[in-house]
Amino acid sequence: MDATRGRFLSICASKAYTQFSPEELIELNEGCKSYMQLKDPGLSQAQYFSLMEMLFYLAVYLCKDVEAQVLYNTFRDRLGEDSPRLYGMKSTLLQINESDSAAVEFIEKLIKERLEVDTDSVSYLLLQKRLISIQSKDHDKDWILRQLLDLSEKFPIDPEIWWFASQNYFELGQFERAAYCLEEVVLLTPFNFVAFARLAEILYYKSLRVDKSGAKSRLSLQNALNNALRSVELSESYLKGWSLVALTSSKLDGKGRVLQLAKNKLQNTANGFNSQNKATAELILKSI
Amino acid sequence: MAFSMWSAWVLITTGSAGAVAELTLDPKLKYWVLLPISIVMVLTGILRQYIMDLIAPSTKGVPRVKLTESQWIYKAQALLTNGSNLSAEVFQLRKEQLVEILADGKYLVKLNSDSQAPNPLNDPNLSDSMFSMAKGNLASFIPQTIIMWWVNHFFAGFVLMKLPFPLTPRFKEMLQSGVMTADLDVRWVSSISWYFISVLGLNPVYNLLLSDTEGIDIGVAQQPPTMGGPGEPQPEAIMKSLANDLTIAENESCFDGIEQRVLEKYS
Repeated sequence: MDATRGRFLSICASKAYTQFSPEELIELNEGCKSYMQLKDPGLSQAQYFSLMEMLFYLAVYLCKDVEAQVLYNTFRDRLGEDSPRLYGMKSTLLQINESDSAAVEFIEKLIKERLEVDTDSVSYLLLQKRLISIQSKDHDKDWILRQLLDLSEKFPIDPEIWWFASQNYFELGQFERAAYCLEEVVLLTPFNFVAFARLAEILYYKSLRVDKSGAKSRLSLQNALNNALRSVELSESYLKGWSLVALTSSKLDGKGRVLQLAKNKLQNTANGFNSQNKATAELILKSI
Repeated sequence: MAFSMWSAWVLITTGSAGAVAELTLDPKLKYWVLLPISIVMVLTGILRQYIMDLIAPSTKGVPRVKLTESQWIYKAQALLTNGSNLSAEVFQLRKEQLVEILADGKYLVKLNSDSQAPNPLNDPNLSDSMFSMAKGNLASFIPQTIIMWWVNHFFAGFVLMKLPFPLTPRFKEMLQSGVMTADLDVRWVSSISWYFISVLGLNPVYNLLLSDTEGIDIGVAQQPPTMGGPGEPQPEAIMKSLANDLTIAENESCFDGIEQRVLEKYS
């Protein structure tokens, strides 16, 4: 029971379900519902509500509108409407049952009339992020970036905003700004090896596409290598980190030992059991 | 059923060193006095907890600008703490930017333009907090008074049990209130004293039974507090101090010697 509870709670806390395939979503939804019916005595009330919230979003992903509405009503009846999570759920239901504009109107009104003068660190930020995500499909990346920078000025220690801004700058080919945003992420989450690897990747692309050649390119590559090395220093088995170490060190002079180490690590992964990682490691080894 | 204070049969053993009183208690005392008092105390504690939950004040919100102000302070602290994750040039750039922002007080909330100290008596938040404090006190005071009256009215003067461990005579007053005997061993506990022991000692039981009473909304519970409350340093002073700290801060980048470190670690 402890293992099952731990599994569901870690999926819930990491929001890993947002990246699941439809089959995995169905499996998770059914598994979680069965688990909730067991009334695990080790599940605290806060954990219970977290899993219920995950079930709400799973119902939304699986187009079970009525189920999502029932879950929202249960939350509302027990906790009242005045909660950041409930605001988020309500805006999602408005998107489903009415339209995006209804959800936008609800959020804008709430922020303007209430949250600007009486908020907590979750509500305002959560709803502003939802607002940007709803409106982003009708606007270009420049508009999204303006909104994100405006929000990052109000909430400068939120890594999610910086990460998303970095992603948008990267897609626009503005690698220096993308790197700046990711540096903010590693500043706020110092052991985030994924962010270090992403920063290395951006600096690697910068050296290839912006700096192209010369001393500036070498400097960018060296910075990329440093960040990739930091990433693997924090997480030994991180495939992307070792791939970037191998790629960047292969383009720099005098990095033979680091390159050999990265190749060995990639070879170990290629000899491993995870088929996806195996294929990736083999591809990287062939390309170096 | 008529209880009497001395429903116990008293055995008095006399010896050369003095008199030691041994009591044999009516076993029904356990079921009709000890158990009811204990059960009522536990149930009252649980009920009080639920009442406290119901009358607890809702999470107090703050203006968004106050959050922004606090977050810039945390950002400066993050740069000081985690600045080693950046290279020297990048750290220098951010340091200069932040020093300028903090020294200028760009995100400082200026609520009182006339720079007068706020009058605490005019603060509506203060009266709210005082009212909620009074409610909390009443919620614990009223049940205690009622139960004390109940115990005193129905069970006054009973000797209920004997503690299985020795105690010094200083505990006599606490454990034998309501039983006016000078010679009785201090280990004998009267009913009113059992009530007091329960009041003081049931907290672990409540913690066990009501272990899920912490804040349900984890997101809100974990939010960083805003700064500048009564008695705390004001944000302006914190910002100035952080600007000074940043100005003299030296950067030791984690990238210095990272190749060697990784090679040593994994080779």
